Amino acid sequence: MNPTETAIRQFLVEDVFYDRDLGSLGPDDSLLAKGLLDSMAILKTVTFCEEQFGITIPDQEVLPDHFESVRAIAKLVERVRGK
Amino acid sequence: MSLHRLLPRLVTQSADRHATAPAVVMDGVTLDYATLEQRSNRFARSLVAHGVRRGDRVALWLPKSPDAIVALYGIMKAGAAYVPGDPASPASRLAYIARDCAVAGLVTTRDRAQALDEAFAGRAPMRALWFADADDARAELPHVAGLPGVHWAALASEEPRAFDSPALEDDLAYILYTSGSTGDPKGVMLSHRNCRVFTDWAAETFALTSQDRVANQAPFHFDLSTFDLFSAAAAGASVHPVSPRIAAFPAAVAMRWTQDRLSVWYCTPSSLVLMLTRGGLEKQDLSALRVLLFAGEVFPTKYLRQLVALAPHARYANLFGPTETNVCTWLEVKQAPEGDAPLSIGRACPYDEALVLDDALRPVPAGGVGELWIRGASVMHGYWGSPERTALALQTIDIAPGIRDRAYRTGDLVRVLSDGNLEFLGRRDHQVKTRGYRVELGEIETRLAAHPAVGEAVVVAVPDDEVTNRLKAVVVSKADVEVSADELREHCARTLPRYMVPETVEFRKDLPRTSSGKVDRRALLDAPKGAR
Repeated sequence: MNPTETAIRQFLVEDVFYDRDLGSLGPDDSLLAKGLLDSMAILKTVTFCEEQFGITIPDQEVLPDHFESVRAIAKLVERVRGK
Repeated sequence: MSLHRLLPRLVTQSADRHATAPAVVMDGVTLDYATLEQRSNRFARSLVAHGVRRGDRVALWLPKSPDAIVALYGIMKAGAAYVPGDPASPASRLAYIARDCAVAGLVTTRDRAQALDEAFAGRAPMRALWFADADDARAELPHVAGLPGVHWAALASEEPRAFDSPALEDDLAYILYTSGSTGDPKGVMLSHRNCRVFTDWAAETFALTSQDRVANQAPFHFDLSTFDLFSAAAAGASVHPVSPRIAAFPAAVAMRWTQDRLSVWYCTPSSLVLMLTRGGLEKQDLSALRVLLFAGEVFPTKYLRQLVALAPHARYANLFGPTETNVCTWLEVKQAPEGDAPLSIGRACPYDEALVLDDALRPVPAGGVGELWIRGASVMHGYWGSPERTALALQTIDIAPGIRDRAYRTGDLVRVLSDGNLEFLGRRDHQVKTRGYRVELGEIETRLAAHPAVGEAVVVAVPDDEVTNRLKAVVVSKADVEVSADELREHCARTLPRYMVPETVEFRKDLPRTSSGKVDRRALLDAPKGAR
């Protein structure tokens, strides 16, 4: 995992899922198939990424495909950061 | 065929009138009324074949799907009550609920089997188990507490013809578990009659027809879903459950509902506000929206004004009521409210009576403040297995001079306005709303206090514009025991639904007290020192 993925993964496990047993969560594991993300979790994750990476994620980018997995969220962050 | 006014009869009637009209539309799958009727008949027969009888309970613990709807109708047809578990809650909570009301059956999906097996720890109340995602009759199924499980595919061998339900109107249709202040969830028992007085009234009042497309955002363990399912079925309209994949994404929901031209939306204010503030609702075509209903929280008027401006052609109504009565009062919003004064909750629906009483149970005159009591046809039968809690909530009181009846004490403080409408002022206790979910702070406090490192714990609700309240725990840890906020949140998440896990945990050396020695909750709202 690259540093962006590592930071997002750690945030999700500790501050969103409250479950360190998810230590095995892989970068491509689906967050949505298991119903791990609710609306509050999405808001928190967006806020975390914006603060952590100094970016603004446009609302229309906050869509299921971009939150499918840790890797997908990291890709979104990189794409927004590259703009 | 039984002529009783049961909830599943709505599907039977619509199947007679509009056999090929869509009943359920979700993720590219459409069930027409004839199919929904036949599949739920098959499932009712499977339930009976596995020993489910009139008066039993059957739990549902699975993500939203057309099959989940087939299942809940089948359960009611079999004469049992469905008990929907929060699909996002830990298995331990479902196991608690299943044991509490001694379910005879459980409908779930295969990926949940292992967690259930662990949570039941070999002792499960049910006699049978169905896997709603087991479409291949030859696939090997996991066991839960020694039970083998039934393939959904096996329903195909049951008869699809009309199933004569043994249930009567006052039998329980469903039990909804809601947060309990003493630490355990409590089961609100509602009958077919309780539900139908509301859903039939709503279908008529909002003039639902077979042309309507009704959104369904609320999960099935949340009573807003009863309108979506049963008012739609009464009218022969289609219900469109939101896919679990997109449910948490306001922009995706706003896009889907407008593209699918859904005409009736019934949501919590939180979800509508998020669609406005984060979902780009203003860019969508809202021309199909005909009726917009909301309930569960106070709608901040500035956002309601924005919504009305986006879709001025639609009808708006504020529906009000706790799970124990479903909707009991309502207000049609004829024009966008001006200023910041909160919307009133209107007056009683025709099947109920709203009483505003002082502490001596005398009616409060116009302008006065009192507690809201509700009597009438939508009032619950009680809390499952808890005559003490039921006796506190349902009391026989004077409703007029010399006339006594049983009424539900809501715990809500209201003001009687000069026009007879009621204004909601707040709660008498520590029940709060967060994103439309009803939460007893005491339940979270009990869970926190069960952690060995916690000396004292208080949970407060910090008001928030978008989600009504955010939860904050203030903890005094026991001397010389180290504990982190992460560890406490994890401890909560093992038994509580995620929306009940405090977002922030603040540690203090002691708790501020009022002059009478009670914890000063107001003082805890401020100064999050050292919180994270």
